[in-house]
Amino acid sequence: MALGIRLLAGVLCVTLPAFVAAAQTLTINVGYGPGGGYDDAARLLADHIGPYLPGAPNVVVENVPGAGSLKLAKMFMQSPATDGAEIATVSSSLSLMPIFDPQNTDFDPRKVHYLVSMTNASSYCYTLKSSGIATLDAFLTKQFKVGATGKDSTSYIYPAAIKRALGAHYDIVTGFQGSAEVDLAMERGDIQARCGVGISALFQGDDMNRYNVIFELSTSPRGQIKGVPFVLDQPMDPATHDALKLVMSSGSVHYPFIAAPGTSDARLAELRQAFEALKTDQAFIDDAHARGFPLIMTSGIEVESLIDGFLASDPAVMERARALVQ
Amino acid sequence: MGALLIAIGDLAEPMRLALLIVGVVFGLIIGVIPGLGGLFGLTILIPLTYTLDPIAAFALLLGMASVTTTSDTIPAVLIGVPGTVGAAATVLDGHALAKQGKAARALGAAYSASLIGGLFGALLLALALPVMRPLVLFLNFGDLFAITAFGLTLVAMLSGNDPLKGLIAALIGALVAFGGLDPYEGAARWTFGEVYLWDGVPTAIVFLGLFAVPELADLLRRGQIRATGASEELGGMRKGISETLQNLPLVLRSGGIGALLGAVPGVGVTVIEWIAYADAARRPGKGPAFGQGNIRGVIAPESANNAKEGGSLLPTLAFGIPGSASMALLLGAFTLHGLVPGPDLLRDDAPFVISLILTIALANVIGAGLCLMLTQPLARLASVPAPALVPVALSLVGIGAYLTTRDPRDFVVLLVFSALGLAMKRYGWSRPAFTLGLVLGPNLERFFFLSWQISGWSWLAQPLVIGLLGLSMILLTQQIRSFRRERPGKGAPTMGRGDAVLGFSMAAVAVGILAACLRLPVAAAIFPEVVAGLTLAAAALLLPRLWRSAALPLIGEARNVRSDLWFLTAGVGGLALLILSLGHVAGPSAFILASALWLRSPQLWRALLAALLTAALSWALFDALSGLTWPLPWVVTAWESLRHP
Repeated sequence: MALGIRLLAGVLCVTLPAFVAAAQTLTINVGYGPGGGYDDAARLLADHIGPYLPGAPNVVVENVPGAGSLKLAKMFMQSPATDGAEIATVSSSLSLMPIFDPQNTDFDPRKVHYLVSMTNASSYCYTLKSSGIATLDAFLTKQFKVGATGKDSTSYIYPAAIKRALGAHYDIVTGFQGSAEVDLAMERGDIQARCGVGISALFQGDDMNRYNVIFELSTSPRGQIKGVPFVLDQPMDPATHDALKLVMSSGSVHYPFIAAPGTSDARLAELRQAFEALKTDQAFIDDAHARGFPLIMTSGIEVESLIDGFLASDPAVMERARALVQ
Repeated sequence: MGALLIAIGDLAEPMRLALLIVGVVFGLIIGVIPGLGGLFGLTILIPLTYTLDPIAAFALLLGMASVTTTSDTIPAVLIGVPGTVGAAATVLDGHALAKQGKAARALGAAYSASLIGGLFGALLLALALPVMRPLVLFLNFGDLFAITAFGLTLVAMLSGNDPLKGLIAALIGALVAFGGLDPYEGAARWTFGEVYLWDGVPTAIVFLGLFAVPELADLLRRGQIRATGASEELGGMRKGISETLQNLPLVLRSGGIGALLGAVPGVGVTVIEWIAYADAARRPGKGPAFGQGNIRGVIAPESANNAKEGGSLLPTLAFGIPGSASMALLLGAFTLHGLVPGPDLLRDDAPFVISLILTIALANVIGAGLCLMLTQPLARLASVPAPALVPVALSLVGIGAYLTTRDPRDFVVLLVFSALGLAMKRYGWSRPAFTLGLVLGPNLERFFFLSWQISGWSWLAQPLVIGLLGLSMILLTQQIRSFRRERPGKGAPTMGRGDAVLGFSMAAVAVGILAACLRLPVAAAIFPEVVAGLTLAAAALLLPRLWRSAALPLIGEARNVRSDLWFLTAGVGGLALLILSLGHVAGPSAFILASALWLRSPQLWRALLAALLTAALSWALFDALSGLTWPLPWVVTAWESLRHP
């Protein structure tokens, strides 16, 4: 009896790992915690992309938060995987990391493979109606506070660059744990503005009645909200204009999805084809619309070409851009 | 009134009620398993709600989320393993009661406190609906700083009869928690170049190491949960419920703490339950000291962590601003179902909002009812032989730890904090005080920098800040006076050489951190420097006692330390190796079987059954239901490399 049990135990130990290796799954890693735009984008994709991949795998979303997604980006850059069974979405501002922080080798956008960017819609700076900062002029001349999470996030990078480029007088408060905390501090009147907010967030509920939208932030004006000044239309010298445009350029590859550097060419082609197919999938488009997601997809190859362009900018412009976001 | 009747009618539809019950049962299961919590449950359940109507969807989701903090009490009380991070405080007195043969009493009190706390949270949410906005906006970062500082003065309440050691433990807890990228400058503090540590040490694993592992080691040594000679108390469950009712003011106060702090984004359940526990410890009432089986130490955190759920819905409903990661997922679910949280939702769809409140209330009633029904059978676990129980519980702890980031370094953290927990337990260093420092220290720093950036020093003139900081000063002065008068700790027994080693190690950590601070920007270094300096000052005061301890070897100390080391290496280390080698399904099962053989368990078939059930549970939850990606087991990697060299 005892021998039988030991034998059974042995068999159990040897066969059970099969459970682990058997499942065919595509994992979408998110560099932020649950909730928020990146998580929303990943979960939207997870519900639709499976059928477009060979074997129609299960698609699961996993959150790997840390350091404004740099943690996941670094993990992915160091990943030896070649099978493309895992992809990731990390901050779009990381695509400019070699410009903003050239000493930092944690992530190099040229070494990973970009699969798609989910939107290039503009983002905005806004204030609460009760803040008394209703116009662009007031935004640039009054003394007030802008809320931001970490210094690597667009919530800091955009207002910091605007402040230096246009000589604004506001202060940036950092250390908020997330956009929710920033918004609540705004409601309390602790801070008066926030920058880098997507259009979907602005159109929720009565937000458009509660907020003054001050600036449209992008590399070219989209005009989705009528009458909102475009940041690059403001008077500034050409060098600053080019540098600020470079800072804003990460917005044109927003919510990007990446694959590990060693991903095989065949698998890369499969993944990119699946994203291309999604662009015309009406159910996917309708679902994105229902969830308020501003879907304007850019193919992976185009994203890589755009990033190459950003990183090949005039060194003087890059240096000015770096100075703007300090 | 009309909206209330409509909401009752809506929720009373059989299908929705059935989904609510399914959610509650799922939440109870998740709460029992260490390392899992409501967030895990929501990620699994939200995709299942796509085709449901909003009321049914939220009956399922909120039903689950409302009760994980009810059932997490079961492992906390019975085996000293917190089911979720929200039950760590319950371990202290709950498990102490179980050892005394009063498991049913502790569980009865915990469930009834959870029920009343949960209902109180729902009631506060309902009452707050008309005045939600001013209520949520009431506390700013200055007030939160003052609340946190006040919470830290409660360390003395959690330090047992040795306040100096408790103080050092709390300071070391804060120093550990300062690790990671600092909130102001983004500088890396004692991350040892590891990306893994950028967000700090994972709190969930620290809790498992500090509380679960030492209690399991102790349980294995004792032979069974109930101490020898203690018999199971008759009518314990009823007694526990009646004690909750007798302590109704405490239940409501703790519920108030839970609901109010739950409404503040950035204040998690870990902070809430410890503040509630420490607040209760200020008035221990009749019965044993806190930490030795005082029923108020079970009632307070359980009431607070269930009331939190109602509170945390407030900012989500009032502004569409989620107060926690769980609420962020729920907010996503609102959007999926075409609902936009905010004032409009309350005005335009009041019956739906009321149905959410009713769901929380009903889930608490059903959850507590189901748990109460299971109390007597579960209490019998107290007499199950430890060699059968401990390997299964330790396996779940191992899975829970590995689940945190699915990185082998999860086990390194578990081993380090298990060693610390074992040493602290053995040598009388307060683990709750360490935990309070761990959860409150970083908040103190963050709230300070936010307040300072927002309003310079003027926030110090806010009425609540003046009141709370003044109260903290009065409490501190009182404590210092009473320490000087009573000299607590003076008569504390000399604990042996290990105590000296632990004390000197903590001082060495403080010195190391001071040295590391020299390379940091001022803003990133200032808080850790102050805390490390205070640690060294307190350690200097303790030095004479540590010196005596080092000079006086205690009989049996070496044997006890060997026993702890054996549990740490063969138990936790062995389990880690098996999970890494064979995976999260086969590894724990192999560990249970190997333990049964090693410990010569008389009924091997039970061990086999336990191994199979653990494997099935691990596979069902972490592969079939959630589809998590796990690193390939080492045997599979080795096999692959043999096949494709």
